[in-house]
Amino acid sequence: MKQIKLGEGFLILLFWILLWGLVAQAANNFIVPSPLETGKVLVGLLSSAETYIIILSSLWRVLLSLIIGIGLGVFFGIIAGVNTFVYKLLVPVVNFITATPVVSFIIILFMYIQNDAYVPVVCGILLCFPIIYNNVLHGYKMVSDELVSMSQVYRVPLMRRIMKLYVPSTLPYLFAATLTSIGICWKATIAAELIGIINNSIGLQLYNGKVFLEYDHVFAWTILIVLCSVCIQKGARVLINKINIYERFKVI
Amino acid sequence: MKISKLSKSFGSLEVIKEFTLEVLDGQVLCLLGPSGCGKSTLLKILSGLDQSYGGQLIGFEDKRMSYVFQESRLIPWLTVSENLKYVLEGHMPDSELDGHIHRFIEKVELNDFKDSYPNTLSGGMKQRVSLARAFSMPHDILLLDEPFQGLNIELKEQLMGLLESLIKQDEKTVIMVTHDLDEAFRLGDSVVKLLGYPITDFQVLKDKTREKVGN
Amino acid sequence: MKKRHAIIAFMLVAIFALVGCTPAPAEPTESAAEETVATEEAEATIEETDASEESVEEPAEKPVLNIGTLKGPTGMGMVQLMENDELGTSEIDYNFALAGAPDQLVGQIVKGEVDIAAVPSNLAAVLDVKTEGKIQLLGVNTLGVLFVMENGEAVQSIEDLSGKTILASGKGASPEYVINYILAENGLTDSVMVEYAVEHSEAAAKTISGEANLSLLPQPFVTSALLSGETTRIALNLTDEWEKVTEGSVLPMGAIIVNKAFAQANPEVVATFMSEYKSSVEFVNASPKDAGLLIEKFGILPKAALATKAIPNCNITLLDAQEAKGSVQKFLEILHGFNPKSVGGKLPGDAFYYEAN
Repeated sequence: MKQIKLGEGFLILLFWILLWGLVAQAANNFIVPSPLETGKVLVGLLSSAETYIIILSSLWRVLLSLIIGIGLGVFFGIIAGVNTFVYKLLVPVVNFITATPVVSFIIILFMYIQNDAYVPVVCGILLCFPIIYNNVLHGYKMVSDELVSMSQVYRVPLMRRIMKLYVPSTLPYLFAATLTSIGICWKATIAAELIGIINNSIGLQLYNGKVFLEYDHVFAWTILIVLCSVCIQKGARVLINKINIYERFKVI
Repeated sequence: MKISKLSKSFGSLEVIKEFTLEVLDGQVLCLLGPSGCGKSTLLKILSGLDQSYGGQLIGFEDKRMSYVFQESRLIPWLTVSENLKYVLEGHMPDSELDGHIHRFIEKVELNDFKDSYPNTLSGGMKQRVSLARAFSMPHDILLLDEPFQGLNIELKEQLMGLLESLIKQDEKTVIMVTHDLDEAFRLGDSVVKLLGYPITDFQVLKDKTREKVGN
Repeated sequence: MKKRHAIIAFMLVAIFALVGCTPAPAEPTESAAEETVATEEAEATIEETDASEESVEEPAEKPVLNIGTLKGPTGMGMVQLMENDELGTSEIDYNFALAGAPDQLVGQIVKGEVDIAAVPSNLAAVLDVKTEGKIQLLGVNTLGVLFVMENGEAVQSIEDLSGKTILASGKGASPEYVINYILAENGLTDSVMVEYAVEHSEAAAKTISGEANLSLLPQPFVTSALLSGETTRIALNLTDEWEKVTEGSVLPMGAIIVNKAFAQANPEVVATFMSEYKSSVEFVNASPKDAGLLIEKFGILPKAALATKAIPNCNITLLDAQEAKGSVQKFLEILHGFNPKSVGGKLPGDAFYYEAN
């Protein structure tokens, strides 16, 4: 994939913003906010402390979902890898969750969970669990048979096998799954926040923008959401690279 | 030790049928046979990797095994020393561990590479690490499965010389499986040719041990 | 590299040239005004009513009116209009756009695809601000439709709410401000806990199942809760409570807005519409059974029986802008006090209220 240089990227972005401006001008109503109007709102948001509190609240929910989702995914992924019975038992569950649309979960969860604020978290967990689970399972299966039997014949204790053989083998898959999950979790959480009109959430800002017909706010917040998403994923990649020194030796 | 009436099938395919062979303590036994005849399977059963077979293995139960595979089977993200540590840890006090590992890396002449990763080593070097690993592990029996498979002639020569000296120093029972006559005769006290498809019998081609024992 | 930069630079120049050459976009309202002049063939089965011809154009052709309305109480008053339009007996050729939620109408209103729309009254104020005065309030078509429901008999008056929890729906919208205002005026803000369900249907479901002892519901959920809930009854009528605390002001929840330019160009069409609409409203209130059938027919509510039962509690009416001005302004003031954004940031001026000449 060809890398886009900074200067190039800037010009390309400028092009699209100008195009957007044209469209807004042609529409000439408040439904399509212009880049300038959106920019003004954006600047206002960025200079307000409240914005950051809101972003952190939503981020916190996403983080929680990820931690729990990864924990569950790894746990069940490994067990299912080791034990075929568990694996077979989980097949319909995982398939069902994967096939169900996000909004179905959101609506159902809001009906049954008392504290609305938890719904986005549960939603996020439901969404990233199958991804992590499947990847860990696959990673486990992919551990070299040769190395496994070598460990067996040398009677290497289980703990060491897990730490030095299985975990490093599965890590690349886990990391790939995590990166994917971050994006999905982020979007699902915000959607749930919007539907549930959760206090102190990014979703609420979008909801308010819609209700008060402040579409420049909707656009501005959307841009913020995208920026956050990019930052999180970049951050995650850096973190992963730090941990995953084994990446060099694995050919996926 | 005795392999008594060993039988092994993969489904309907019989690979070993009622095979009996005595193995003497401390001897270097080479089992000859063409590729794919089942000799690797035999070795796997002896090592304990394959637990489903008919017949008995007498005298093998409490023996510690070291195994040299056809492929070097090194963990890619561990260095040479770490690969040895992976199997050795726990078999001796930690304070002795590094010295022990160092000694054996020296024996296979890979001193300069003890902190290198397998992907920087050549095929021959990787196999040397595998040998270091096998010999450094406290063992009663050393099993080798066509260890020089796929290496070129010069390399084979080198490694065979190395293996010879290692075996001499080791003084433990060695069972090696190969299809190469030269290897077998050079390294083995006893050379036995596996007969039959499935393997049912053997033919003694060389037997130094008889002479040793003075039979 | 240089070549790529050149291409992008060229595109930028092209865009700037385009921007410079773009003609001023046409006012969206003009297209609507033009539509009224468009000819429409009268249906073969036309039956002329007694009303005299009021259209400005040739007698045989009817003016076209595009109306956007909502499912639910807001749209219920128009059913006779819809029926007559279908039969061809109305004087105007109506085109109805039925939306499930106000958001869907906003786009059409702004783009001028509808000339008249039924929207929540505070949304009318927001639109006034956002379109910079391009719409006007034509009238109020629904008074309060909010009720406090109870699974029990404990609450007989507003003070009985003290110490209790109400499950409400419509957070961030009028119901929230209405209930908060009424509670505040009755000194009950600290002693009554209001929780919000995510949607009206959720609050209704919990009321029916008994999970929520007290709830705040809008129509038609009030009627469905009454029908399905075994112990559910209406505890308080918020329209009455509102009138009590505002000294006689009505609770104007639903409004009719009109595109200002259209109204100015076609005052007669507007007047005809208002009179036909008034008849429709009277019909609906007088004959709930027949109205119910029509309501189901046109998809405004799913079941005729539900509609018929709901009508008495829906406060369907038609007050023209000048009549309703006082109540609407008061309502908007109160909302503004809670959250200025709920009315678009500022209160409307007199120009907001349509005046028939």
